[in-house]
Amino acid sequence: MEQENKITIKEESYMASVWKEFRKNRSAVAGCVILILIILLAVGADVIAPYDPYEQNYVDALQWPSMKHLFGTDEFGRDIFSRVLYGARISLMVGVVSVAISCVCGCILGASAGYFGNFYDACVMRCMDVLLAIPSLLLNISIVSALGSGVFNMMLAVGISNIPRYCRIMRASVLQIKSIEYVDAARTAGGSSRWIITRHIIPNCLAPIIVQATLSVGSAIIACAGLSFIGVGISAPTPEWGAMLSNGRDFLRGYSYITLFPGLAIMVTVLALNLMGDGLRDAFDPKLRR
Amino acid sequence: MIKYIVRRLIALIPVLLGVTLIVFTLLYFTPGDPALVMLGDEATPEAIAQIHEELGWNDPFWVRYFHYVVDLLHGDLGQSYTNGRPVFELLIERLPKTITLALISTAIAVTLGIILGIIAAIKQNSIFDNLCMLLALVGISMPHFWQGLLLMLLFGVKLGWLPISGWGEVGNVILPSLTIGLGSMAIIARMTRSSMLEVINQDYINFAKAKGQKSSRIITGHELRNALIPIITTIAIQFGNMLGGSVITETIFAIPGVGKLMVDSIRSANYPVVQGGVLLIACIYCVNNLLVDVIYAFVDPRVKTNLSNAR
Repeated sequence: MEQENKITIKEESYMASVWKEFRKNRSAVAGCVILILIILLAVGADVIAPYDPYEQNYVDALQWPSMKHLFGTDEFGRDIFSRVLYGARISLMVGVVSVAISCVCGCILGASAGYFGNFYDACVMRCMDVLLAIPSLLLNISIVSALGSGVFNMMLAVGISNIPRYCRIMRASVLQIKSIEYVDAARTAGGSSRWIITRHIIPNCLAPIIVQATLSVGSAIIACAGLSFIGVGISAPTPEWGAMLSNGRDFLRGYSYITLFPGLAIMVTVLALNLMGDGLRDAFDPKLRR
Repeated sequence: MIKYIVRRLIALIPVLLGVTLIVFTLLYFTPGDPALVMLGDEATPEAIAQIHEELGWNDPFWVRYFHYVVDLLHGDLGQSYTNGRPVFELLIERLPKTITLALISTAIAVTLGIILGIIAAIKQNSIFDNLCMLLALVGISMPHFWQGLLLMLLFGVKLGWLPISGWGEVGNVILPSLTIGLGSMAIIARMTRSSMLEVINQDYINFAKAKGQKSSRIITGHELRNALIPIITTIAIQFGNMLGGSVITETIFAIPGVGKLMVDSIRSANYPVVQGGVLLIACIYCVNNLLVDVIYAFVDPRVKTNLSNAR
C-alpha cells in the first residue's frame, strides 16, 4: 500500500533541461538546421561544387545565373556557386578559430583575475579596458597591418580584439561562484588554485560563455569579411565571401549578382548563428524560459 | 558630480596611455622600412641610413615610445610618409565628415530603433512584434558593407534617386548614413523592446493606468524613462561602433573622411596616418563612454544618489 502512494520524481540533469528548452524554441532549431546544412555544404564542397573555384574560363566570363552556372560567373569566368561553397569553409573556419582564440585567452585571464583578485585582477582588467578603448574594427586593422594579411593573422586579429568580452563575462561569473560553499570545500580539501579553477569554477561559468561564443562566431565572420572587403584580410583569388563582395563592387552597375550571393551567404550563416545563440541564451537562463 | 567627472577623467589617462602603447607597438613591429616609402624604391642605402638617424629610428623601443608620447602631448602625431604633411592636420581636416556621418547615422538608428522597439513591446507577441524582431534580427545579421552595396544598387544605380559616391550635398549623406544606421537601429530596437518589457508590468505602470493617465504619457513619462539606461548604453556603444564602422562605409561611398584616409594609408603603407587615425577615434570613443556615464546621472536619479552616497 505504501509503495503505491510513492511519488516518483524524475530527475533531469541541467544540460538535459537546457536541451529540452532549446528544442522547444522553433526559431533556434531552424537556425541549428540551417547551420548544419551550411557545414555539410562546406565539408562536401569538393563533391557538390560543379567547378574548381580557382578555374578561370574567359569564354564564360560575367554570365548571369543559369542552369549551367547557378549563381553566375565573375569577370574571370569563375563559377560563383562553387566559390561561395568553398568560401563557406574559410568563413566558418575563420569564425570558429577566432572565437576559440578569444574564448580560451579571455576565459583564462578572466577566471584567474576573478579568482586571485587584488593587484593581478586590477592589472588584467586595466589591460582589457585599454583593448576595449579601441573600436574592434580599427584594432583588427592595426593588428593585420602589423602582422601582414593572411588567414591566420586575420583570425588572430579578430580573436585578440574579442578577448575583453570573454574576460569580463568570465570574471563576473567567477566572482559570483568563488564564494559558494563547494569552492570553499575544495579549497579546504587542499585543492590547488589551478585545480579549483579548471575543475570547479570554469565548468560552472560555461553557460554565458557558450551563448557569447555562439553569437560571436557570426560577428567574427562579418569582421573577417569586412577586413577582406577593404583589402587587408584575405586577398584574391582565395574564395572568401568578403573578398568576393569587394571584387563584385566594381561590377555593381551591370552584374549585381556577383555581390548578391556572397552577401546572402554571409547573412544566412550569421542569421542561423544568431537564432541559435538567442535560443541557447533563453534555454540557459531560467528567467527567460518560456 | 564634478568630483566624479574629474575622477573619471583621471582614470582615462592610463587607458589612453595604454592605447598609445598598443598602437605604437603594432607600428613598431610592422614589416617593411618606412624610409623606402618616403624616399621611393630607388633610394640609396646612405639616404635611408640618414633618414633613420634623423628621425631617431635607430633608438631602442622605449626611447622611441617616450619621444612618441612627448610629441603626442605637443599635438604632434608625426608626418605623412607620402606627402610630408602633419598627420594631425590631415585628420582634423577629415574629422568633421566622419563625425557628421556618425551623428546622422545615430539619429536615424535612435529614432527608428526606439519607435520600433516601443511598438513591438506594446504589441507584444502580435504579428507586428514578430515582424519587427525578425527585421531586427536580419538587420543584425547583415554585414553593413553588403547592405551599403544593396542600397547603392537600388537607390543609386536602379532608381537613380541618390548619388552613390562623394561628399558635399545633402543627397551624399543619405545612403552612407542608412548603411551605418540600419544595423544599429536593429540592435537598439531589440534592446528597447526587451527593456520596455521589463518595465511594462510594474505596479507603478498599472497604477498610472488605473489613475486614467493618457497612454502616450505613460509610455514616454514612465515606461520609456525607466527603461532608458540600457538603451543609452546600447546607443553609446553603437556610436563608438559607427565611428569605427565608418572606415568601411567611407571606403564604399568614397567619402573623404578619417576612415577612408586610414584605408588609403594602409594600402600605401603610410603608417603614421593609420596610427594617428586609430588614436584619434579611440580618444573620441573614450570621451563618448565618459559622457554616457555622466548622462546616466541625469536620466536616472538613482545613479545620482549612488554617486552622492559614494562621496
